[in-house]
Amino acid sequence: MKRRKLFAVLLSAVMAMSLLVGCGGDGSSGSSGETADDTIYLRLMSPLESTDWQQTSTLEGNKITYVQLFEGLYGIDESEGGYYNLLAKNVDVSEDGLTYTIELVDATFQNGDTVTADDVVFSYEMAMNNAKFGYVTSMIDTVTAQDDKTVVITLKYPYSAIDHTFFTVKITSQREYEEIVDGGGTFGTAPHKAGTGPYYVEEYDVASGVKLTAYEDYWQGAPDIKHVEYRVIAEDAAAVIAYENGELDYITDAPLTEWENIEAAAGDRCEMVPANDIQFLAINYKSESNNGILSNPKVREAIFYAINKDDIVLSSTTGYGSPAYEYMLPEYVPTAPNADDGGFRTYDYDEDAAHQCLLDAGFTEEEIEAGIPVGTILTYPSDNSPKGKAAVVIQENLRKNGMIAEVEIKEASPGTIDMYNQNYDMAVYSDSGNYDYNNIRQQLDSESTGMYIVSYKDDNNTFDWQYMEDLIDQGVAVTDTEERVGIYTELWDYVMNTQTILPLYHSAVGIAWSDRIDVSAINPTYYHLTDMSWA
Amino acid sequence: MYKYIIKRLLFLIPTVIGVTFIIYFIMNITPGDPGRAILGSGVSQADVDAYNHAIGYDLPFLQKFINYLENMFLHGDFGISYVTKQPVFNEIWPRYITTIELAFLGMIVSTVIGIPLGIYAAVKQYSATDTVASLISFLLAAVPTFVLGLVLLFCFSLKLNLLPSYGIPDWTGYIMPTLAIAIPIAAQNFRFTKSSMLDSIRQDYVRTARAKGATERTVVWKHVLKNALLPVITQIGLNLGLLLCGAVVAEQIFSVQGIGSLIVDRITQKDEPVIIAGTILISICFTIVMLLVDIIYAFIDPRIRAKYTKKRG
Amino acid sequence: MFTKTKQNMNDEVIVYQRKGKVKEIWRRYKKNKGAMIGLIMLVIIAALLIFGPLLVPYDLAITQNSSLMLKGPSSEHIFGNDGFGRDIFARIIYGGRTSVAIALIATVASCIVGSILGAVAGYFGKAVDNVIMRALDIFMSVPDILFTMAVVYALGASFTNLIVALTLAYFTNYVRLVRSEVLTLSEQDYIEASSAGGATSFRIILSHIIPNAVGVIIINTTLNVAKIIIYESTLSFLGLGMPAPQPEWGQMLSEAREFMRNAPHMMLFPTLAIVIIACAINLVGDGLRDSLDPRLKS
Repeated sequence: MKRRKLFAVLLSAVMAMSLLVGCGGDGSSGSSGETADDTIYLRLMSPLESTDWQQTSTLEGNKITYVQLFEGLYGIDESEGGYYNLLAKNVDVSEDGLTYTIELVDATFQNGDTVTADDVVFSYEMAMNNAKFGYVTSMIDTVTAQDDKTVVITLKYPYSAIDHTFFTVKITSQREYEEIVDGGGTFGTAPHKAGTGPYYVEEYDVASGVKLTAYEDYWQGAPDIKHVEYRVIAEDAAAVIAYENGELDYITDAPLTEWENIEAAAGDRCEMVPANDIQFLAINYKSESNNGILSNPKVREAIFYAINKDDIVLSSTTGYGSPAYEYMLPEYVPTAPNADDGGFRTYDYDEDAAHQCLLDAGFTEEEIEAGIPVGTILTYPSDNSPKGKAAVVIQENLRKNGMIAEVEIKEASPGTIDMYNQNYDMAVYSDSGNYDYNNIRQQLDSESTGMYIVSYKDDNNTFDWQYMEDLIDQGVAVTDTEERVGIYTELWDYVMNTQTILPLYHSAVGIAWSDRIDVSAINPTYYHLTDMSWA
Repeated sequence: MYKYIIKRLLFLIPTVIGVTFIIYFIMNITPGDPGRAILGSGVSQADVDAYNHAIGYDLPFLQKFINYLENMFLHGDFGISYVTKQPVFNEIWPRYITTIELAFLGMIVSTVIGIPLGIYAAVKQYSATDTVASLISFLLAAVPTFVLGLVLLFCFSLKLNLLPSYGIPDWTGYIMPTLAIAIPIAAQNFRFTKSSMLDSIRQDYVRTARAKGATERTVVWKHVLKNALLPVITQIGLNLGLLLCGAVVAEQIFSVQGIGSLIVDRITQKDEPVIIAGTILISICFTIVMLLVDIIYAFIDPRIRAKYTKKRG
Repeated sequence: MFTKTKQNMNDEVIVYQRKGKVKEIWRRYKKNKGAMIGLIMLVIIAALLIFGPLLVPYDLAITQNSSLMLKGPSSEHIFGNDGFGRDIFARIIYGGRTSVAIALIATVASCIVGSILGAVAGYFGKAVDNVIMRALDIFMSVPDILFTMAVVYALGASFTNLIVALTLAYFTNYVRLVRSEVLTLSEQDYIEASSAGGATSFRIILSHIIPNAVGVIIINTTLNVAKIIIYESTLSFLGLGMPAPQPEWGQMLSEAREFMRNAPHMMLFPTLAIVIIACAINLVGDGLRDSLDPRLKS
C-alpha cells in the first residue's frame, strides 16, 4: 500500500515536472519586448512563407521580398504612377518593339558578387519555367546575355506592358542560388544574400517572424535604418494597441475600423491613400439559375442601377474608400481612362432606373413588389472581409429594389475557382496590384488563364469578344500613353455596355508610423524601408 | 498494472494510424488544392495540376495515406510543408511546444483556482463566498474565450499598458493567453468540484463518520475530499480538449505562434503534411494525458486498482 | 411461465416507479431556488425566441440603414445597430432562433447517436464493446476543435453541416456515459431476468436500459446545449460559423470583433444573450441533477 502511494506521488510529481519543463521551456518563440535603439519594428499579419520572391504568395510577403530583399530591372513608383529604371540603367527598344536591349547598373548582390547579365538570364529563365509567373513571362521569347553588363530580351509580339514583367521578375544571384540548391537545401527556407535589395535576411523563423539587416554596400547607398524586425500579429486590435503602445514603428493596411484610434495616437504621422485595387461585381450572363434570368440584359442593368456604391463604401471601408467606375485608378495608372472624361458609360444608384429596367424586362409591379429571385452572390474569403460585407450590402440593395439574392461566402481558393469556372450567378471579386492597364487582359481575353470570370466568348456570340480582344492587343501594340488611353476607353465603354462587370469601390490604405522615424514617401502597396529614416 | 500501461502505450500506434486516416479522409473531401493556393489565380489548371503532381498531392487517397505512414514510422519523416517547403517537423515542433505550454499552464491555473474554491464553497455552502463564487463561475463559464481574450487585451494592454499585446516576448506574454483559456475552465472546475464535494458530503459514510464524532476537519479531509476528487481528476484530464480549443482562439488573439493557429492557417491552403503532423502530435499528447489520469486514478481508488489487478491475474 | 410473470411484474413496477418518480422529481426540483430561477429564465427566453417574431418583423433584422451604422442603444433600437445599421435586438431574437436550433438539434442528434453506440457497446460487451470503444478512443484523441474545423471546412458552413460537425464532436460523451450506465444496470436483476425470459437484446436495450439511463442523459443533454451555443461562437470566430446574412449569435459576435473598441455594444448584447441562456440552462441542468439523484431523497 505504501509503495503504491509513493508511486502515485512520484507519478504526479513527474506529471507536474513535465509541465514545468514544458512551461519553463525557452520562450524564444516570441520576440523581445523592449525596442532596441537601432531596430524598427513592423507588423506581419501572417508568417512570411519564404525568403524567396518566387515562393511568397501573399501580398504581405511580396512587400518584403519584392522590394526590400530583391530588385527587378524596373521598380514601381506608386505615388507618381508608372515604372522607373532600377537594375536596368538603359533600355533600348527596337523599332518593331520586339527586342529590348538592357544595360545593367553597377550593383552587387548582398553576398558581394557583381550583378552580371548571366544572373539576369538565370533569373528570367527561372521565372519563365515557373507557371506562377506565366502571366508576366508568356510573351518573352528569349533572354540572352550580350556581354557582362548587357541583356537582350526578345518578345514573341509587341507588348508595351512589359514594364510590369521587368518589375515582377527579380534578379537573383545564380551562384548563391545554386550553392544552396546543390547543398541539398531549398532556396527560400533560410536566410540568404542572393538579392540586390537594400536589406538582407538576418534571421528567419516561419513561426515568429523575420529580421532584416541593412546591406551596407547597397548600390544606391546604405540605408539609414540598420535593423528591421517583423513580428507576426494576427489580430488587428492587438496590432493597433501595439502601435499605440510604441511597440510598432510602421503600420500599413491599418484596420480601417480603428483608423480613428490610430489617427488619435499618430497625430500627423499618418496618412490615408486610395488603394490600388478595385472590387467588382461580375454577373454570369450564362448562368441557368432561375430560368436564365441573368441572360436578360435588362435584369443585369436593373441590378447595376440597384447597387448603392456609397453604402458599400461605408460598410466595407468604414467610409474611407470611394465608389469606383474605372477598371483601374487613373491616379496610379497613366494608361487608365478616367470616368471624369466621360468616355464610357457609368452606373450609379438609381431606384427609378432599376425599377424601369425590371418593367422593361417584362416583370409586373406585383412581381417586383414580391421580389424577383435573381440568384446567388458568391464571394470570398470570409463574412467579415470587405468583399463579404459588400456582398451583404448588395443583397440588401437588391432587396430594396425588388430583387432577391442569396449570399454565399467561400474560402479564397474554392471561391475563386468557382468564379473561373463560371460556376456562379453573381460574384464579388477584386483585381489589383498592377500599374499597367493591360492587366485588363486577364479579365477580358478568352486566352487568359486566370480571372476570366465573365466568359465573353460563347457559341452564340452574345458579345463581340473578338472586338474586345482586338482592342486589348492594340493597347499593348502601341507605346504612346494617350493613344493607349483612347483604345482602353473604347474597350471599357464596350465592357460597361455588356452589363456584366460593375466596378464597386476602391478601398483605402491607412499608414501610420512612430515618432522614432520619418517617412519620405507613401505607397499604397509596396512601402520601401529605404524611405524611412531616423527622426 | 505495468502490463496495462504498456498496453495503453502500444495503443498509441493504432491511434496515430487512425488519426492519420481520419484527417486524410476529411482532407480528401475538402475543396481546393495546394497548387491553386500557392500558384495563385493567374495560372492555368494544367499548371496547377502539374504542381500538385510534383508535390505528390494528386496521388490516390489510400496511397498517400500509406506513403505517409511508411515515411513516418520507418523514417521518422513527417514530410515537407507544401506552403513553406520547410520540413514539417521543424516547423511544427516549436509551435507545438508553445501550445502545450499554454494548455498546461491553463490546466494548472484553472485547477489551482477552480478546485480549492470549489472545495471551500462546498464546505461553506450558502456562505457569502459560496454565493459570490458560484455566481461569478456561472457567468464566466458562459463567456466565449475570444470575447474574454479581447476584453483582457483591452484592459491590460490598451488601458493599463501592463502586458504585451502580442506574442510571448517573456513570461509576461503567457499571462493573458493563459487567463483567457483558463478562466472559463476554472469556472467549470469550480462547479464540478463543488457538486462532487456536495455529493460526497451527503454520502452515508460521511454521516457515519460524523455520527462517530469525528471533527468536521477530519471528515472533510479524510473522507469527503478523497472521494470527491476522483471524478475531478478525470475532469482535469478531459479539460485538455477544451484547453486546446481555447488555445486555438487565444493564439489567434494574442498572436502566439502555436500549433492551433498554424493548423487554422494551413487548412485553407490544404497544407496536408502540416495539418496531419500537427493533429497527430496533439492526439499523442491527449492520449498520454488521459493515460496519466487513468494511472493516477487507479492508484488513488482502490476499487479500480483491484480491477486491474484482477485483469492481470 | 414463472419467468414470464416475473418480467411482467418488473415492467409494471418500473412503470409505476416512473410515474411516481416524475412527481417526486418535480417536488424536489421546486425546492431548489436556483433551479427555479433558471427554469423561469429559460421559459422567458423560449417565449421570446418562439413568439419574438410576432413582435419583431424579420425585416428589421436584415434591413440595413447606413445612417444608423454602429449607433449605440436608443429608444428606437434598444440594443443599438451593427456595422450595417441593422437592429441588434431583432438580430438577437432571430439569431437566437438559429443558434438555439442548431444547439438543440446537434445535442439531440449526438445524444441519439452516442446513446445507441454506448448502449450497444455496454450491452453486448466483449468484441463489440472493444471495437466501439477503441474506435472511440481514436476519435476522441483528435481534439474537438480540430475535428469540427476540418469537417466544417470540408463540407462548407451551413445550418445542416454545422449540426453534422457538432454532432460528430459531441456524441462521444454519450457513448461513454451510456455505456458505463448500461454496464452498471445490466448487472441488475431485472435485465438478467428479461434476458432469461427470452426478450431479444434490442428489445432489452430499448425497454430497459435506455429508460433507466435517461436521468444521466437528460442532465448531460441540458448542459450540452449550453456548451454547444458557446462552441458555435468559437467556430464563428474562426470563420466557420453560419454564413453571413442570416443572423446567428456566434456570427454576430465575430462581426462585432473589429468594432469592439468603437462600438462595444455590438459585442455586449450577443455575449449577454449567450451568457444568460447558458446560465439558465446550467441552472436547470444542475437542478435536474440534484432532483434526479436518488441519494438526495432525504
